[in-house]
Amino acid sequence: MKSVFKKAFALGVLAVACQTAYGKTITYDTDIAIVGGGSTGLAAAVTGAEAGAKVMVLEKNPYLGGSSNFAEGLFGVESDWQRGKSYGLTKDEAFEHIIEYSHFNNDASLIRKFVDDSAGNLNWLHDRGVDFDVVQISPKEPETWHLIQNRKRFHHGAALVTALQEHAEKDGVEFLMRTPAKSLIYKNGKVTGVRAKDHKGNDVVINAKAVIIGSGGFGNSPDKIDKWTKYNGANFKPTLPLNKTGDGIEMAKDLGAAHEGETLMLHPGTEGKGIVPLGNIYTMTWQPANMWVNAHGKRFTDETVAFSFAHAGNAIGRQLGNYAWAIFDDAEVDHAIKDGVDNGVGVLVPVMTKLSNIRTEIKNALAAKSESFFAANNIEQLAKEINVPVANLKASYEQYNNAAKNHYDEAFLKDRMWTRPLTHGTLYAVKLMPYHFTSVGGLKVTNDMQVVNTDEKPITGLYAGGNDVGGLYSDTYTLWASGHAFAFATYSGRIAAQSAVAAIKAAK
Amino acid sequence: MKITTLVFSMMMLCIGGVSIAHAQDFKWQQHHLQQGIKCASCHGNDVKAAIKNDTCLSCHGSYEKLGQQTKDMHLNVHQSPHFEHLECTACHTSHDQTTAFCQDCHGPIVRDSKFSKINK
Repeated sequence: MKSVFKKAFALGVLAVACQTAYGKTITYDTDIAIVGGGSTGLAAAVTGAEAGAKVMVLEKNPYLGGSSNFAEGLFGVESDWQRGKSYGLTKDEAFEHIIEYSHFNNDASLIRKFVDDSAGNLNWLHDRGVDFDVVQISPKEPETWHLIQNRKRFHHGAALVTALQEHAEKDGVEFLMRTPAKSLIYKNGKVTGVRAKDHKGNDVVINAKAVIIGSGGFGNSPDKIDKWTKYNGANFKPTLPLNKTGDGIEMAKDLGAAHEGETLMLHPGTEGKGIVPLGNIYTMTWQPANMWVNAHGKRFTDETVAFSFAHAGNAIGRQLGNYAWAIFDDAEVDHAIKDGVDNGVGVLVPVMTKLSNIRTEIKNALAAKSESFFAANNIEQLAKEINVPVANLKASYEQYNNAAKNHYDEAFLKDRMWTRPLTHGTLYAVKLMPYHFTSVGGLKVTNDMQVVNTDEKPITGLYAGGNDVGGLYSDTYTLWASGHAFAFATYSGRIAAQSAVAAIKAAK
Repeated sequence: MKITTLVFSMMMLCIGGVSIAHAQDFKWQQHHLQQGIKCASCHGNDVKAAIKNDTCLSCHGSYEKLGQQTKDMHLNVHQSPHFEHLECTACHTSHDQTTAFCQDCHGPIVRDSKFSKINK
């Protein structure tokens, strides 16, 4: 009787302990552990698994792909797709331009290798079920953007992500979803694994022969934007909530990894009451034929900068309060409805899209008393609506219309093709604000994607790729090389895994 | 022997009672329980283990099949053009009210209740 009681009591205590204990520790052993299941991590996973390595991927989100799901095209030069269009830009020309674009503030050796293998990278993806079409995305960029073709039900980048995901699943790669990596395991000068926590609160320990970091940067952490870049995280907002908080960069820095060049891939956009994200009014923030003014009511740039989203983000971001206004008239609205837009928002809203819903959106935004969209019958009234000095806006407006009439913009040399008089019907103003698709810059790496310490010595067992890597860009993303970041993510993931596999084999 | 029974009952209460009482407030878990599906049917013997999609799909078939059941929705939540094998528990946490993860970007998603057998 007594012993039964004791046993039952002990069992009860045990049960309570199990019930209340906050998780447990789950341990795995693998060859390669990958931090982040985006296109860097997936390219690394497939490369590693195809080479016979056991691969585990830690993904923080409930889905794979991160921002690659929403990106659309990859940089490549001397590709089969360009050959098919008799397009003749060479690797050498592209390399020289990329280096100059960043004022030699980038790692020329890393970029040389990347550009040289950019066509091979596309072929590697093509062999794994990703198809492309090469396009020129704006009048200011060359034809290097290899647009991903939709596959099954998957659009844009998601077609690439899911193609690699399916390969990885088939090759036996194990994915731990909703399991953010927390820190690297570092013993005797070597990275030997990674610690994580799953969403049920369990501690996860992965002992690995190599760790590859591809966590996609820090664009969703306003705090890190404040600390790591010249921008303030409150005014420079991420386009999408992707939970990218610089985890990979941070855990490598904790081991003494070197880093450089942290900044943001900016683009213009808007938001506010009654404004649909990526809707018709939003699309007007990317149009070249509007007049842009700042908080002083003054023009500040050739508005065709809208064709180069990263530059447009810079131009808007450096204005007082980090915003500006795009002003257009009823003729521009009609042009967007009848002829389609002059500039696409990538291919999310393709160039020539007819903004058939814009009149309704305008009505809704005005009815909602939007803080980011206004209409007026004349320029004086519009100045009052957007709270800029009337005299300044009036002068800017008159000068702009004169430039349109005379086919010459003395102030900013805007091409006459895009300088049309804003004198038809109602005037509209939409607020322009800087957003970012991703952060760029981060860990310093060798050409083999090994992370180096502050003495530029490789940290054994640690590799990085994609937007967690520094040395690719200066203050501004190399928009000229359309698709650079997406191509580099896949390329660097592959190289990191190749290097890791080679190191594991050499250690045997 | 009575004490043993008492202790055993208390023990069972500790293990299961709290969670089940909690479940009454939440429709998803209630729905499962009403169908005779026990905690262990999904969790096995470890309630702290993360539940993988395979567990859900062993009863619910596939994302394609679920997509058929929600094809009335303007954005078919089970046929995302962005994600393949999105974690079921991203929306169906079971212990909480369900929430469409798509709403993080797409804004509020409502479904006509006439199509939904769950929210009645």
